[in-house]
Amino acid sequence: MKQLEGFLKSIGVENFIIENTLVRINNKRFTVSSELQNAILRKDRLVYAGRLVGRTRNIWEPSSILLRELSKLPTTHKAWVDNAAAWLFVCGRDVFVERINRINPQLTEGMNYLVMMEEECLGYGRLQSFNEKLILINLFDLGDFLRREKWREE
Amino acid sequence: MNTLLTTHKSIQERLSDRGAKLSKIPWLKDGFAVDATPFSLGASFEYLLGLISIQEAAAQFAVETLEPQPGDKVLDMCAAPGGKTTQIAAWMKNKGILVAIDESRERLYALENNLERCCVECCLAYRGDANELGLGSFDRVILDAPCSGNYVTDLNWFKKRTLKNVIDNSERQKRLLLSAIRNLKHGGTLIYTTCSLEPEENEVNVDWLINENLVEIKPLTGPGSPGLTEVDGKRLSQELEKTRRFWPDETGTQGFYVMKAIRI
Repeated sequence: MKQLEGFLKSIGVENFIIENTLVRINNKRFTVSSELQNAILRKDRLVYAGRLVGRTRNIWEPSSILLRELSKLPTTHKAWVDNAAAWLFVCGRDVFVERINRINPQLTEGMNYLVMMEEECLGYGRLQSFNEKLILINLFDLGDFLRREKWREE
Repeated sequence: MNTLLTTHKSIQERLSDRGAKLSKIPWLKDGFAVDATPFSLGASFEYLLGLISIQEAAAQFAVETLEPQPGDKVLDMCAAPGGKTTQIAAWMKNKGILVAIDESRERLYALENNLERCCVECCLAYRGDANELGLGSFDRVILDAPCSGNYVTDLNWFKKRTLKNVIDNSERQKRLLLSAIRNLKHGGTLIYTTCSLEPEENEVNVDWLINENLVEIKPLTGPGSPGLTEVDGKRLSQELEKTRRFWPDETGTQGFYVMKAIRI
């Protein structure tokens, strides 16, 4: 899957093996074990299956499950932020580079990073300069769970 | 608390450090009551990270009685928005097959969000009803049936509900119960719950199942009172004493009804 491969490359992950079968349901991609795959009897009515890998909403977005898994790998690009920046990030805001406490591997404009609060992944973003300041642009954050519900209500 | 991602000790320490006061609910394996909190748990990091979910204590008791095991094949009917589904997946340790179904596409969006947030990986979710879908035979089936609700969770309950509502719901619940039994293997476990206090939606429906010789009722222990065995002067099966009824003034929860049975 080219979009997934492109995303993995953009955050420094190589040789990531997807062991299970990929299943597509509408705009979402899942991996399912052989046990679950054999249990799928009505694909036409299926809305969710196994482990969510990501979805396409205008652009490809990794799921929070995939991000959590990738955050445990040593080569993944990661930026650790303080508590205040973490709050702003899950509210959909970008991160000023000054609020980044630690980074792996180094600050490089154009590179994607998972945004970390200690050991937990809150989403990811791309480092870009804006008015001569480096900013980690928010591309996905966990606050999306609450925003999705709100959009539905509206 | 989501045992797929955290432990009792870890989540208690985390939330206590931020000023929340939690107490363990003695009759729930992984349930905590929030005695006080200076922040909204529903918008906390812990919630967004899937470490916790917010659910009525009585509703959590339903999965406690189901006792799903890793490797089981479990059907969760009327599953959206997925509070019980994620709880079942945690009991199953993400191993086995958990099928969640709901007729409402809108409500299934919330279920999908909860499955992703809580890192559930053993679930197949479908839109539709169990009869129509024909999903095979399950070890355990849980039916948290659509019902008339109760006055604890709906302040306008007495203004909105009529006797006809209750009777209509009762008929729908019977259809769902039959569907649940058809999808359950012989000897498999059925849990039937509602958040209604109306006997027509609870004991009267279960009495009908007993009279049809479809199930054997299993005794439930824990919170709540024994189910009613007499309704409006009509005597029902004594077996109904084995079911549990949560009167809000006694249990401090919402109104709730739980029945556990084995398919004959």
